[in-house]
This record gives sequence, structure tokens and C-alpha cells, in this order.
Amino acid sequence: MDVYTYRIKRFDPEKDNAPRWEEFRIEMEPSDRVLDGLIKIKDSLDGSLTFRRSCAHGVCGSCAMKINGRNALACQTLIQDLSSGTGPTIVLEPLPALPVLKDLVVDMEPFFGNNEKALPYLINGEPAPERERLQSPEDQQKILQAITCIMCGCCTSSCPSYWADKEYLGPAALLKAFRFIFDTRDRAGDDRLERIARIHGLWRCHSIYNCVEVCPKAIDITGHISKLKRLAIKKKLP
Amino acid sequence: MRYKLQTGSFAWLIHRATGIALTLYIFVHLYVLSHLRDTARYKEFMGLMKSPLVRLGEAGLLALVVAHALNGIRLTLVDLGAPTRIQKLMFRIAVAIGSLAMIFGSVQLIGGGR
Ligand code: SF4
Ligand code: SF4
Ligand code: FES
Repeated sequence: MDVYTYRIKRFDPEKDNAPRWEEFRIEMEPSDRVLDGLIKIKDSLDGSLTFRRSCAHGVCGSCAMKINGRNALACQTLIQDLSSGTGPTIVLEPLPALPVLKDLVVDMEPFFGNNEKALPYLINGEPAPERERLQSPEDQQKILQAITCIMCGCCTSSCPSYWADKEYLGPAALLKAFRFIFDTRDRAGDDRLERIARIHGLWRCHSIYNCVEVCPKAIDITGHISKLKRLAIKKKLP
Repeated sequence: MRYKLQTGSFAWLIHRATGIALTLYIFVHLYVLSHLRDTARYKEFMGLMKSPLVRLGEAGLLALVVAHALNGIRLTLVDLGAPTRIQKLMFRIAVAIGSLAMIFGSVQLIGGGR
């Protein structure tokens, strides 16, 4: 067991006018996850510390936050894997660019609102077969990466284009559009493409790669976005 | 807001900064050119162009062009389907080619190869 310092950016809308920093010192194993420390602090030092978590296994996407200056899942980041730049100090902040509700909890509404604009559901008016709409393994391969997105928000809130333009759909919503546009069972691809091939959509992506750097599912988001860009150009969309 | 600067965002910042600088330069360039109307003024101006300070400036201009052009190629390759995996590698290659171009170009410009 070593002693680590958790330096947390806190904000309580009922008490604070502005965010403030607070430090906690706790004993942890290097193989512990950042989330373990947060739970320990909440259980033993300060019950008012607020953060989201649910699955604790990198599946639900709720524990996304800024860890030592870059977005990540607290439940998927080991203490020992943090770059030693800050020594035994772990700096935690809420996700950037989203309104902070309390401590490490941000309002995900803008994020999910953008997702909604990509029509994130299967659209197919043809009568459904008796059992299910089948898809070949090869066809599934095309969207396999995009399917693994857990909607954590790490990518969109790390994107400099999103910081500068809150109307920008952001990488996660574009990836969601990809997931259905390239799904052979879906029939609304053109409608979706038209919705995203706009100035606040596809063309706001400048291939900065911040999203790819942080995606906890290692999805090549920028690669998917440029594939969408090529499709939009082929279809002569604006 | 502070956020860790990684290769991609670093390249983007350089691209924006050089892009804006080059746009401003274009206007200065066109303004000067459009005011060189007779031989005397042309000769006078060309004399000015030989000063070491201007030559240093030209090397700086070359740096802007080289950086913007090479990163532009990198981004175009990405848009054409080059795998994202190699974006950092492409950045490093661009830096290497750019450095070579700068060494060669500076020698020509400042070393008086004209
Ligand atoms: S690659 Fe595009 S979407 Fe991803 S962070 Fe950069 S600008 Fe944003
Ligand atoms: S693409 Fe990756 S970073 Fe973005 S929401 Fe999905 S899982 Fe999270
Ligand atoms: S708690 Fe579910 S992803 Fe971290």
C-alpha cells in the first residue's frame, strides 16, 4: 500500500460560486483503479463527494472524467498506468465542455441530444421476417467497431472542435450515424447522411484525433468520420 | 481550460496558426506587388530585399509554407483513407521532411545562393 493524493475539482451548486480544488490522501495499491480511490474517499473521508459510476467494469460509460489532464473511464484506469508526471498525485476533473452539475458529475444532456440528431435507432419499413433481420458476418464486420461505443462522452468532450462549437454534433454522434448508415439492415442512411453532412456536423471535424486518443473502447473514431466524409462527397452532399 | 496536448491537437494548432499567418501574408504580398508600378521603385524595392533581415524573414515564410503544406498532405491522406493508426508516424515524417527542406532552403535564402 502506498499513499496517493487525490486532487479533485469540486463544485457544489448550493454552496460554491466557483469550482474549488480539494485534496484527499488515501492508501491504495498501484493495481487499484482510479474509481476504487473515489469510492474509498466517499466511504471513509467525505460522503458528499459526487461522481457517477454504475458497472465499474468499463461497460456502462458513466464514470468518464478528466484524469491527469485527459479524458478516461475511472473504472478502467489503473493507478500504475497513470503517467508518472504528477507523481503519486491523481488529478480529477469533470469532463470538459459539458455543464458541471456537482463535483465530477456533468450534464450529459447536450451529448445525448446530439446523439438523438443522428437518429440512433434502426429504421426499416419493410415487414420484419419471422425471427429477425439477418446480417452476414462480413456485413457486421463493417460496423463492429462502431457498435462497441458505450456512449461515455470521453471523445466528444475531448474534441477541440466541440469546445469551440457547441452546435457541433461531435465524434460520438457521428459514430452513431456511421453505425446505422453502414448497417445493411437499415434503410434511412441517406436521411442520416444528410443530417450530419453539415457545417456543424461532419465538416467540423478537423482530424485532430483527440477523440481517438481517449476512447476507452479504442475505436478509430476519426477513421470512421473520414469514411463518412468520403461517402458524403460521393453523394455530392454539401 | 487545460487539456493534455497530444500530437493531433499540436499539429492542428500549428496548422491553424500557419494558415492564418499565410493568409495575412498574402494580403501584404499583393499590396506590395500592386504598388510596384515603375522601374525605379522596383529596383529600390529589390535592393531592400537583399537585406539580411528580409532574408531571415523569407526563411520564416518558407517555414510557414513548408509546415502548412506538409501537414495539409497528412490531413488529405487521412481524408483519402490513410489509416488513423499512422497519423503520428505521418506527423513525424512530415517533421523530418520539413526539417530537411528548411535546412536546404535556409542555406539558399540566407547563404545568398542567388
Ligand atoms: S478527429 Fe474530429 S471529432 Fe475527433 S477530436 Fe478531432 S475534430 Fe473532434
Ligand atoms: S466513441 Fe469511445 S469515447 Fe466516444 S462515447 Fe463511444 S466509447 Fe466513449
Ligand atoms: S462505471 Fe461503468 S464504465 Fe466505469
